[in-house]
Amino acid sequence: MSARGLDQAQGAPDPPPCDPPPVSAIAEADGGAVLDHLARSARDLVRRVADGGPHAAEGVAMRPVASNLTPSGAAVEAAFVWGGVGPDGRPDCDPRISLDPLPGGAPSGRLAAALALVRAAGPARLSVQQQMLAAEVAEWQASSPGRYGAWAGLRAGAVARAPDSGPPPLAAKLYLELPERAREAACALEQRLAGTPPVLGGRGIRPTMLGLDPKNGGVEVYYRCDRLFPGDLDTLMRRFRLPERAGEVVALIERLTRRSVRLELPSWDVGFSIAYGTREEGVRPAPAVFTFYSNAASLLGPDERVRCALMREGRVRDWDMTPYAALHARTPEAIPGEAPLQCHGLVGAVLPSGGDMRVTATLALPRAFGCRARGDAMPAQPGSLPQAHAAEGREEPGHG
Amino acid sequence: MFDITTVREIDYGTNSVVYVYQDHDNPKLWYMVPVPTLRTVGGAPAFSLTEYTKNGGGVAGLCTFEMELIQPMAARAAAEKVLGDDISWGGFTWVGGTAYFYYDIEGEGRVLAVEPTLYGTNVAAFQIELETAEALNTFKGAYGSGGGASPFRVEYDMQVLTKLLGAKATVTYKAEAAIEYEKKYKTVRDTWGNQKQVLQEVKQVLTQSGAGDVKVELGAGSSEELAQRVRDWGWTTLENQVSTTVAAAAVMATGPNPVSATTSFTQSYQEDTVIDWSTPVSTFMRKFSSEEWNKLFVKVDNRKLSVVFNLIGQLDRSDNGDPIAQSVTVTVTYPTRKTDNTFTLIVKDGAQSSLIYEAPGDFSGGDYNAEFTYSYVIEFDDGKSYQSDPVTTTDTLVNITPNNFGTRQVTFIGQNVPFDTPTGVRAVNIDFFFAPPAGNPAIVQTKTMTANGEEEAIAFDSYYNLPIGQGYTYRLRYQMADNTEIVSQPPGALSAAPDYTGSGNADIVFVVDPKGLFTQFTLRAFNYTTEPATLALVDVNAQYFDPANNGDEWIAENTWANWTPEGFLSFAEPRWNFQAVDNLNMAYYNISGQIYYSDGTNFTLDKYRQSSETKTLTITNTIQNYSVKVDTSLIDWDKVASVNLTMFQLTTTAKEEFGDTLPDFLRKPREEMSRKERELAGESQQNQILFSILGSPQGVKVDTVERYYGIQRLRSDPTIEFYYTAVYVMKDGEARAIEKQEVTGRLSVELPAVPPANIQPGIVRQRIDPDQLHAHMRKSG
Repeated sequence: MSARGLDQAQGAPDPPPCDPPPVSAIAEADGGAVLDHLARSARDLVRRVADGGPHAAEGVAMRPVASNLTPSGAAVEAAFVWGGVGPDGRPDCDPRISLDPLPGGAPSGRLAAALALVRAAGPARLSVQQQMLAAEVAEWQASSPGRYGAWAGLRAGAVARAPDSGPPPLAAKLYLELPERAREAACALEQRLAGTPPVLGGRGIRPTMLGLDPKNGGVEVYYRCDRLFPGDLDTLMRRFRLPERAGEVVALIERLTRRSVRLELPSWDVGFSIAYGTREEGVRPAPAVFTFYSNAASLLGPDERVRCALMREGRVRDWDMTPYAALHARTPEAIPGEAPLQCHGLVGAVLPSGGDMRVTATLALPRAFGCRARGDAMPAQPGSLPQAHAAEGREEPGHG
Repeated sequence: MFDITTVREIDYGTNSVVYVYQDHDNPKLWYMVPVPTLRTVGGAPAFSLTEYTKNGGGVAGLCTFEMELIQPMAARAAAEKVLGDDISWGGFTWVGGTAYFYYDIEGEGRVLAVEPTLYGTNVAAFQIELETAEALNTFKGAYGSGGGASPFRVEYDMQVLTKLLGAKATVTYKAEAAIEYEKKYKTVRDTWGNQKQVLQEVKQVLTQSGAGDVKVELGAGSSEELAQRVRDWGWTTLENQVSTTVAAAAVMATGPNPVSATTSFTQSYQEDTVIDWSTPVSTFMRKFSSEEWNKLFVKVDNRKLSVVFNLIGQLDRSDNGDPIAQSVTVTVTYPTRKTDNTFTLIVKDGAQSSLIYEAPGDFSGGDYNAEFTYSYVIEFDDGKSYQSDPVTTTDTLVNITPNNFGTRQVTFIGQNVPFDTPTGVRAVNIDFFFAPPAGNPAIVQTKTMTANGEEEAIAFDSYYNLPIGQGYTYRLRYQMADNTEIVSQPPGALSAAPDYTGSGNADIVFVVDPKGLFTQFTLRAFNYTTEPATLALVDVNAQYFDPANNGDEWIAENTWANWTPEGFLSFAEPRWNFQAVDNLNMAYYNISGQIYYSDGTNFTLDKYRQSSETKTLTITNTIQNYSVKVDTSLIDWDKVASVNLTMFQLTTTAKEEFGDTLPDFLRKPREEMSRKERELAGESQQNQILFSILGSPQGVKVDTVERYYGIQRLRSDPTIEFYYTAVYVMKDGEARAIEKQEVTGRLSVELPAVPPANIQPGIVRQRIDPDQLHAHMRKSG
């Protein structure tokens, strides 16, 4: 967060924090309404958690500070997953959000806030295995602090609902940082989960985040790596006992970039994740979904080009692009003299075992719940906690 | 000729793919892009990894291997299944290419670039010295027993000429976008010396910043598939051009951040234009079985001498396809090997174009002796032979190139010159010059081009039995339909090529539309925080002059007024864009203005002029800009054929190190330096520019255009100092040079009519101290 923001003289009065954006700003398509609902719920949850938490007195959650979640400093990021169908049988964009429950806070505080938020979101609870994993990671974070600690995710429960039956129930997800300095422990963990030894030693593959989904007991491990070759994707899928489908990913990349992939995959900032199936008693959870990610800018360039590529692909595949398209109306203005803030986060290919490939993209929501983006006029804040310096650029794909 | 619109991917083997193209005229004729493979010699893989166990002489080991390009039998079979078994296979006529070895040392990625032979199976010999035990272990792990694929790979990028069929393409580079991206997202940068590293980083900047763009317009009846192929080609072309621009900016940019010294460009390619096409192919090398490894991995006590000798470049005559010589017999002299020191390389035989010479290391002096001597005899077809002078060196890569054979073959191909249009070009006169062997007359040849394309290409071919220099100069004189003449001469080519490339300058030159070239000039400023005073305000007026084409009038002008440079690096906005003829050799910028510093002082830019080759003016709070005028009006063109003037300044560390005596090798052109000398020159010289001044054929106006060299003087060290060397090639073939001199008190260089004969070539040092400068500035008003 720039010091410039803090130094701005008191000008216009602070807008009431976290008012929902006008509904008309999001298209009336189902996806848009869901996003709106998620953003509102996130705001309420964060407030509820903060009110009950140790920082309640400082109103931390209400401070309009920039977050490390996104390059633009937004504390909320929308994610779309195209290629599937909704409960009504029509193509949908399966929107969900990830959020920073404690913008500007220390990693330990954020971990606590995220846990609290997940508890407050809905009836589902972390399973015993998930709790043990979370505890293990928390311990590592305590002795080797990381950069952010944790993020939270929210999606609408995937249940067919009659119209007018009220807002859909919420499902929360927890994302835990695997700190850089606890790399060895993290590698041991991922090997335990995978059940097979690691591959591709020369590609700098390291586990960076752990996703826990209380709704289905699922565990997802996120990795970052150096540049990959198409063959490497198959090698990875082989390690996780998944069918080799690198060809589909490469074809998608070729369509999005409009260039042939002859040698390496054309992105300098890539990673992947493995989602493990739900656990049956006594049965080791099997890898169920392989997702390849790339930093959107690294693969496709500035926001406008990412948008064009996704819209073009969406038109051909008949995806529901309306909520995504509408979000672009709300991206922040560039600050003159500086490179434009990158709003797109990641682009990815999701390969569920036995299912069709889906395509995912994430997009920062700078004013989703009144929190400001970098460059917005900011009034001075009395007696605030130390500001986190938002990263100059994305360091990792995924939700952190 | 193969048709780029017909490319197909053929799968073969377990996980391999090969690319095939159909011939444009004969549908049953196909071309397959060959695949890199480890060469086999005498049944064994041409690979060796040696560990030095006792006396490594500074290194832990050595890895050498040879790769070649082949069409795998399995690939052919798979292709014939798809395309029909009644097809026949043609061969590509390569015009150039590079082979890259991608490896890593302890996790840090490296690239080694090597030029393969253009003949046979395009053998490329790689040799990597492994300096540490860790490096050696990385290689052992990469190749050692276990089978499967190695993490190291080899990529071949071979070029062939073809036509851009069925589509138009425009490639654009917007410098502002690249620079903005660099400012915001700093990434760790390597030194800009390694050319392939530049290309990789340039690719990243081009994508992420959105500075690069390729637009393809399909012709009637063309497919989306073709658009993809042409986009691929467009991106590769753009990446290579930006990479060259960045590398050139690094040589000339005084100040950090060469990307910020680049300027925007845009280039269009019409349908049916002749283009440089390449389909890069790469394979991961393989690990060896334990049986193989036992033979390929060797431990020896002492370091050995291992030198790669290569014949590279275009080695056949363009008129009849015959080799330019029969053979080259090389003799190596090294204390430890008294017999078997001679071997023969066969010209144009890909299988016998390279050899790795080995000898036990010489430790007679206590330490490893890396120095050896070699000489060679060339046997020409007509029975003549040439014995080279002995060369003593420590270079472990020796490339013997066409100019060593006395061969020069340069082809000019028209690429969308607007011939046959009422406002276009009637003909292009090409003046061509290179220094012939001593004793041969040196003349500027002229030939005329009247149409585009390969069939109408203009070739300048010379075949001597003596070696010639690597460089050549040319000038284009476009005779327009309205009877005016447009002169376009490229700047002198400083060989910034990495040391693996010996075959010299581009042997194919594309001739383009002379008019309307998009030009951008950038004014940038650095404010170093280590200085007490910063740049406070800048007023600059810049004019573009091209005396050869526009006499005394400026062609374009721009003013930046009241610019306050902010931050460490800033640019005066808006950028100055204009259109002009591409005459980088002779055109210049005339810049006047005032620079105000925060300590109340100011500096006047008084008719500061710089060559149009440098499209950026850099001002900083540590230097002041002056220009040196080079007066060419005295050159006696009756006797002189061409003059090459190289000017440079020294880095501060080099100045301290060399003092008053510069090492003699700095006088040589880069291609003639050994690898070590080239490295040293790169570190010591800065702001280097080469002016190639060409005489004229009979009846053509001679070149008396002044040249300008922009220099920077440290505010803290107010003496201006620069150096230059000049080589005159006389019409009778004699080469003369200016001798070592010290010149003081002048801010201009006067090239003499003719330097005296028989003098030792040297470097001129010219210095002006502050008092002399003050007097000079006062005198000129």
